[in-house]
Amino acid sequence: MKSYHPTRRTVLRGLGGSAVGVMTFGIKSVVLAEESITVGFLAVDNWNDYGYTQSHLESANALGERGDVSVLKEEGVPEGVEVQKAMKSMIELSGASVIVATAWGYYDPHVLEVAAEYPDVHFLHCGGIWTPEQPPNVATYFAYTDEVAYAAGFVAARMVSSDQLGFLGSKPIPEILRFANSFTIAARTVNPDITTKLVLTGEWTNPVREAEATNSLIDQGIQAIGCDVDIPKVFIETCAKRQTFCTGMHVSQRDLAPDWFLTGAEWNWITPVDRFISAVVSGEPYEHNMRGGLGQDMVKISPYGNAVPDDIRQEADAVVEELKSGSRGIYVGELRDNQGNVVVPEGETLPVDDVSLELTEWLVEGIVGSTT
Amino acid sequence: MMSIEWLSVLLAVFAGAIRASTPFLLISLGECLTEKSGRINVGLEGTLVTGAMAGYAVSYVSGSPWLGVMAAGFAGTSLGLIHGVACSFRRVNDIAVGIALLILGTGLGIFLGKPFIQPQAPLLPAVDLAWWTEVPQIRAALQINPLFVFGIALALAMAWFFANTRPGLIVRAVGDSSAATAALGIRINTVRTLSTAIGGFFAGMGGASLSLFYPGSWHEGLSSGQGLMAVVLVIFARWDPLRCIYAALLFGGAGALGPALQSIGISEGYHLFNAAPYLLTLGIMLFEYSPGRRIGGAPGELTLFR
Amino acid sequence: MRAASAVLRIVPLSVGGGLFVTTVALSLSALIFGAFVASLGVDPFGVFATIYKAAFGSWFSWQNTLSRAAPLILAALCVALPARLGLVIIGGEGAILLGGLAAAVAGIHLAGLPAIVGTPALLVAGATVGGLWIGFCGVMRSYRGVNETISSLLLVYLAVTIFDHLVDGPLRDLSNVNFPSTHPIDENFKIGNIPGADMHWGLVVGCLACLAAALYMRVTPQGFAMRIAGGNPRAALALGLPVGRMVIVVCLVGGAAAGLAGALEVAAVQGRASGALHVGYGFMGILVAFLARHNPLAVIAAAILTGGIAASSGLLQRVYDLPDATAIVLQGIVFLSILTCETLYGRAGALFRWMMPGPTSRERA
Repeated sequence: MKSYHPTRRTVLRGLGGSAVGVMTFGIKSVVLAEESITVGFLAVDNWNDYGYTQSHLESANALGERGDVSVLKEEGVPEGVEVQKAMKSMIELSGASVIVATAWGYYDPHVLEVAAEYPDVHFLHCGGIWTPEQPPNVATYFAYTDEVAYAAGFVAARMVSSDQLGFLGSKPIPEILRFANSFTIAARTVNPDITTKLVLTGEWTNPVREAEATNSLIDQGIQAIGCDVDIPKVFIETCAKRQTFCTGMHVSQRDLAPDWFLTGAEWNWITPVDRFISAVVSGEPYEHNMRGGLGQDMVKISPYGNAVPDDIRQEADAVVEELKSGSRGIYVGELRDNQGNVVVPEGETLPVDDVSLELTEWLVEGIVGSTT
Repeated sequence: MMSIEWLSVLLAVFAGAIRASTPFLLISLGECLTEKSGRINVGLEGTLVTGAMAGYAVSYVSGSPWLGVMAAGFAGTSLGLIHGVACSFRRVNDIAVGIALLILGTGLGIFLGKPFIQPQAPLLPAVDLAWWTEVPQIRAALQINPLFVFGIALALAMAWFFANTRPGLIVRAVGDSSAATAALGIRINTVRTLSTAIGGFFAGMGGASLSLFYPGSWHEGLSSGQGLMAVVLVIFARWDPLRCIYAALLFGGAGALGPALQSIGISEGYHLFNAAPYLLTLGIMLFEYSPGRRIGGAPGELTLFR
Repeated sequence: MRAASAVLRIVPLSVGGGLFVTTVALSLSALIFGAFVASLGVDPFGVFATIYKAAFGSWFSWQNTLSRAAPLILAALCVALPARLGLVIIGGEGAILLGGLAAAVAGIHLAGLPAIVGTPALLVAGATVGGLWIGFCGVMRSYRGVNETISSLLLVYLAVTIFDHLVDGPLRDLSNVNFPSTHPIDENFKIGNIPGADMHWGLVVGCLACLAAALYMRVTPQGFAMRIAGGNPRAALALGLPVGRMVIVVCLVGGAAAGLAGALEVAAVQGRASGALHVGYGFMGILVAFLARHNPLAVIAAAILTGGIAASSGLLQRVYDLPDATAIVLQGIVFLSILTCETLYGRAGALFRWMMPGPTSRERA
């Protein structure tokens, strides 16, 4: 739908912008034709960060290509009264009828309170869990990274000659612990003696501490390290400098270190976002909690790095297919945590969409480290 | 086995001290020069961010990391000049201007640095001091940041400058008693503005050491408060450039302790390890200070201690 | 010309001069910032219109601005009050974090009590912890001579550590899955909005605190003593004023203001303590206090200016595709201009005469 272009030009002239087309920062379309809706994306960090926020930028950009929506973006919005005001400002001043809030701290109470105030606007949040007593115009989406973490751990374990791996995480939250667990479980299917040394920095992002942690792990003789921090750029570059294999997170960091990057876990947010927008556009009811993994196309695996030989690529591709088809499970009993307690009894398999996994606070046997 | 792991922690702290201390060293030397002249610039965090961005951007565009270092230095000088000139006006408070510059510098760094997050700039080459060993950990630890070497040389030069040269004496005199130096016909504001501008140059280089060597990357969260610590480091070093080296190494090494302990599996209360350097400084201050006496070495004109 | 200088003479210098200097400073920053955006190819007048629209253009925008100003007012008092004694406290952020945490803990443990007891208890808990935290800087200053600027900054890092350790660990509500936070406080204890407005009561609390501080300084003998001690500590000691005790008290009160800011964030906005409290209100408060020249009443105006610029960030991003750092750059420029133009205070009249040479300048000659 290109029909809003004349309107856009008019607006540009109205605001007195000249030569807008050629400059870096241009006035964006504010007035739209009737058939298009305006979707506002909010993020706590900066869009181009090679990490979590960029994964949402990619979905915002992909959404913009639909043609029937106009996308607004706002970065650097703190998780306080600021985000409430930013959402309201998008609605009141820029005519947004859908809000996509991407930071985990936005949901409770901010999205819930604003959604109650604006029942005609639809709210989509990444990471929250909607419950029936919450406003009906709210939906959430999130993805299971267990399978892609498993694939990353598998490749990492196949690439090393020792029985040690490393893992760099930010905070001891379920998402990150699950990632480290799946990474380790996969590695131990390759070599049951493998242990993973876990370092948590305690902050969503702290480049120097991440680099220190990476160096410390490498000094232990570790040959491959996985990660789940908000902005993995420094981690990947540090591994490359120390000639150590690494796996990525959020978006593909392959270009940062093509020779040392193995593969990585990527979000594919456009799947749930597009599904939600389609429902809103067509006026149909939407799913309130969209969840999924590889099979639902909500996550994807980064392209392999140069170092991964063809045979390992084929093995890893086969593992991915088995995970997709369900013939291979991740949390297969008997599974113990690193304190020796049984978490999955013999003969049982926990599917990745099991609700109990959303509250993971245990570390699987084979991880050296603790969460407190 | 255990002892090997503990050795690796020691090594990590040692290596971390060298790796992470360079920005601490350069900003503390810059701040030391500024404070010796009797002004305080608490906005070096902004200088660090702007310097890191300018260094990375120029290195990327020109292909030369050394040009990047110079650009970072000049970016720092510009911010230092703004501080110096603004504070030369009567009634203008140097602490407040510093905080405004902290915000301006951070904002400019983030704003202008947007296009440089994605590309990879050429980094500074390491100084290899590990020709004598084959142990990979030690080899890695002894890939020294060239700006660290510069910082050590600078500290020695500054100590000599303050002790033995006429301009060094003038800076110290201006910092200790403006009335006395004014009587000698010395232009106090010029001395202080220059000291702040040159101090800004060093702080800007500190930023370049973050973006062009360690961790050697540019994004908006690159500095995690190293610049704020400049003031603390200088007090810790009691305005002595040589002691700035110890202070920087201590803060760098203490920051490496937490991750190193976790990497050998000691991770209970990891948040608390990360607070070690700050607690240590506070403890030393409590121990060393006594009421009613100015701490040794403090320039008499410093607003912070009047 | 005569009329202009007459006006200057009639209007008390503190107000007239203040307005004049602020106008000069804001024009200067408009010029610099306008040149900055123009150099990027963006129409500066459109940008200014957008900032005005987003920050002050309508009742909606005013509420946006005032909501952002609310936490800054109390955070600024943590700097402005000790500054009256010549102390420079830059560690309000730590008191905000721990005050907020204390309020959350109180709000969780007192659950079930009536709101009339619970809400004040929660606010008192926050103010107490914040007061003790900054008060400790005062104690170290009085008894050991430890510089309060440095100690308060170091205590920020310690506060962050303690906060993260407790919120990521022992106090964490595991049901709030991927965002570490404490359990929510009792719903009854929550502080609502001012009737008819989309702003919570924290704004009113902040303004009242500023008013109380201003009155205390002007009216009470203790406030007078404080002004003497701030102006000249040696004279104060010679007069037998208990400077050491005053230092501790003023730090306690300032810290209590910051702790209250944290508690209000928990009680009125967040409903629980989490990393969302750690967004730099304490550091912005330093700037607000210096902009206000540590005058408690001027703190309100300075906070509104700061909040207004922050409020414009969103619309600037959406309309002009500028990055979020635009508002930070503008804040930096505005603060720098205002602080530099401080030099014009007391010289405003002279500048006026210099700008408009006329009978008045001959008079002077």
